[in-house]
Amino acid sequence: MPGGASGALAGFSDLTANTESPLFRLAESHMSSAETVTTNCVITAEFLKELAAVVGPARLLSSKDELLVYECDGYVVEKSVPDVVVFPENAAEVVAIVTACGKHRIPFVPRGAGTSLAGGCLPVGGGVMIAMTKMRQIVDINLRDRYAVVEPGVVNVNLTRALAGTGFHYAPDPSSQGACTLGGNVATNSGGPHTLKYGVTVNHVLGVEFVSPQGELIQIGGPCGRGNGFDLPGLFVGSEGTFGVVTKIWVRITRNPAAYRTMLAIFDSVDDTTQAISNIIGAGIVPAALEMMDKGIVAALEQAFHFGFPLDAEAVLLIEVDGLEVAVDAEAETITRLCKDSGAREVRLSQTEKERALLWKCRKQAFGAIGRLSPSYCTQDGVVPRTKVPEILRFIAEVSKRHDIRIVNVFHAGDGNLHPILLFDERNAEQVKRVMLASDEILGKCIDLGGSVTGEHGIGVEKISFMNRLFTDEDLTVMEDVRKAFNPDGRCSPGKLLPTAGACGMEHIEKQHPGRKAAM
Amino acid sequence: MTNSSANDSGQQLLMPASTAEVVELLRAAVGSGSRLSTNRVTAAGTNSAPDSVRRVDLQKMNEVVDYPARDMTVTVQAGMAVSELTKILAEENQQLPIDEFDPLLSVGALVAGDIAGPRQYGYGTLRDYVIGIEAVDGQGRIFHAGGRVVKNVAGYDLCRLMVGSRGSLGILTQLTFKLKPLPEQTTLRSFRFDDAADFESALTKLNVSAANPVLLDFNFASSPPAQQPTDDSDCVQKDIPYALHIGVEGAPEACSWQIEQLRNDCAGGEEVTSDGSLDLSVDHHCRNAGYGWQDNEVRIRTFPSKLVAVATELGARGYSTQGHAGNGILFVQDRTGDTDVRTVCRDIVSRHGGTVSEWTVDHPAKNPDPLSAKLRSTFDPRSIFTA
Repeated sequence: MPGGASGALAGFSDLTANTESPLFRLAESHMSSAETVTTNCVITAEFLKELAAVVGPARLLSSKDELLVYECDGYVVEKSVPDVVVFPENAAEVVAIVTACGKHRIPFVPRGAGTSLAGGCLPVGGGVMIAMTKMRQIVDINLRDRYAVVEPGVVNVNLTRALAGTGFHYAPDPSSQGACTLGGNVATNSGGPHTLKYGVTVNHVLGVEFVSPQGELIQIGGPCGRGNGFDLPGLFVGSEGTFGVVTKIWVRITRNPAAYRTMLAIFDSVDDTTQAISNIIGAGIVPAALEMMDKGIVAALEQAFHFGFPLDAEAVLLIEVDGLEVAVDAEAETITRLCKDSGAREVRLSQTEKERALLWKCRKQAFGAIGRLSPSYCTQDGVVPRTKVPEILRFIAEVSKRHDIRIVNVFHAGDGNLHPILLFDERNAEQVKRVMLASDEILGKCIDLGGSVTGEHGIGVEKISFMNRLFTDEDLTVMEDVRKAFNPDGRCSPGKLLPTAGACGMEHIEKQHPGRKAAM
Repeated sequence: MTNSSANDSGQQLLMPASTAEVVELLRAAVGSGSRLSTNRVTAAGTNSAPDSVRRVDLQKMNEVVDYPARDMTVTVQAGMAVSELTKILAEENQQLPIDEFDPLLSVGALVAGDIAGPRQYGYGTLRDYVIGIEAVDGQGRIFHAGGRVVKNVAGYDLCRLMVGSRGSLGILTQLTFKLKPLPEQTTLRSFRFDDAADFESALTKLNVSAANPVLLDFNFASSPPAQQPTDDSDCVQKDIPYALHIGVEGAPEACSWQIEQLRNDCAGGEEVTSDGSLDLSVDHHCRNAGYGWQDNEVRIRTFPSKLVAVATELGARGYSTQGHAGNGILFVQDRTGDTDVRTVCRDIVSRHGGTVSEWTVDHPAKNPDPLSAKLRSTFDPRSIFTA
């Protein structure tokens, strides 16, 4: 089906393997299964009856048609249909579900809105999917003590909406904030444009209540932050669902800045644009947001939103400073000067709140506009040191040319967090092959430049093959030991994050999906 | 070969010069069943480790590994003194905004102790700045987490696990921090309140102030009550002054504007002025507010909205308190001599919410929660690292 969006690719089945690249090896594993993975989990009538007793028949899906909806998340390359989907409404039900899974040795995976771009909530090997979308209450908001208590299924933007007018907001704002859930944000340690100044999810999580893979309800941290012990909330955030099922979150809320200045700097060359990024950060200025969009993405956005973007520009920077009314103008002026010194032909200052809101709408819906450019696309999430942004963008342009694959860029330039978007038609197997190679080269280059393969999307199942390039065997062994401390038999979100040996009772995955063995 | 010597108290000091030598030490300790103490905040002669414990001192591992200033990150060996790091960063007009109270403290000890000073109100704590680690665990395994880029979610976040782990999970050998620019100017103002209600009112206003303080500290000087109160209603002593110290920073005009806002917010108090004999600067305050890092202090973390009530109750029992009002953090010193201050604190906090720290600066809790205990046995199965 064309038109799919993914953290990687679709349509591997016609490819001929000719490379040792990690993504290609991953592709081979998909080719070997060729179709959607099914499961060998033994789902007995007794087990289903136990689950139904917990959630009732209306909140349990087990028919093939209904389950198909849950075969993948935003990462459409790999599909694996769960055997059962349940929708708990409270922590006690999650405890009962996980306990039943333990009794029958069934793997399970929590799922929020399914917006992961790395297969973070893929039910590898089947089993039970615990969909958290019915646990969506904002339990408490305490402005004086600056925290909120939420259930994991609360959609990110709904918390900020609930805070509207109070003078506070929830700072992490992933581009998918209109759909993604706070539980999913905790699992992947989500970022967003404003994390340049305000930090990512972990900087705003005070505590987590979760159900361990053994079925215990555990609270780590709380409204006053971490208590006596290690920084377990800090460790838990970003564990990609492998430590347990989140049932409650205490998040810090942040005072709204008194003033904003939002600018659009327009450049005639990508080199000048990246130099401006480097000069702004190098000058010790940390804007609230510093986002880059190149010509290709600007064209798509202009078609979609009619903002008035200059279609002849090679790239634009969306820059926002915030803080005291008395201070923001001076900061905006400095940034304007640095941009012009770097070759910007124009720096526009947003004149109204409406204009600012539209500019941000364009940025946050950039991925949605890609459909105007190509039937399929693949987004990567590499990170490089900020001063290496010019180098990596030149490399991406060179890769694009060499593989004859169009690549557009919209990304968190201030963090060095790239989102090169590779455009293709997944019905063309030869194109798919070139996209895979190009993606692999880009992520490899990020590592070579001292960066990482993921800044905010997570490893999931997509980038497991890169973990051996980022970390030593000993690093991965230690991480595996940490996972075992929480999740000893690996039944909770199997096949994610680590390329090390995995779950007891997961042998069926190897039989049906040999390539996946390496991901367990 | 690792150098060794004895410190003033006769305790054996091991001074490895590389991560490989740290691994050697660990393997030797595993082989001999001996125990090691490392990344400590307190001075060698003042910690409570027994003589049989060998202290690992990383002072020879004090190099800058990488400082790409324009990326605003720095990687250093863990034995570097914090004061040295501060000096190096200042040359590039940058800072690691963790208030240093001991110029000899090593970077590794800073992280292991999760040291945080007054400016944590505006800047956060070390968990917000450590982006990469190298460490050696109790099995002699070198492990890394994070990296050298400011945004990175690959792998488990062992960086945060190590921050504040009190050297009980491994020996930190290398750290990467993200950095902040130095502010153009900093300004401190202090206000005195004679009345708890006025003090509470000022804190409530400051929570939504138009100013943007980076520091919001208090101290509350108690005089011992004539007699112990008989019930909670006796706990409020209205004549005891509260002092509030507020720091702002930015361009000079931004600081001046903020000071005016603070004066409005603190209208119920009296601004403390100096004839020059008092150093009312952020820098002086941060360097001298080293409370909270003595083993005889008790640390309370409560809700900011409950801070005045907790401080007042403690004052009524004869305890002076000081701390970070904006964060709800109080430090209590026992001035009553024979009273179990920790018990009193637990009693008060149980009514207002929060926690009384069972950790000291160098020692993790004796009875950790099950998950923390499991992680300790994962990293240090033979209990090489002393607690």
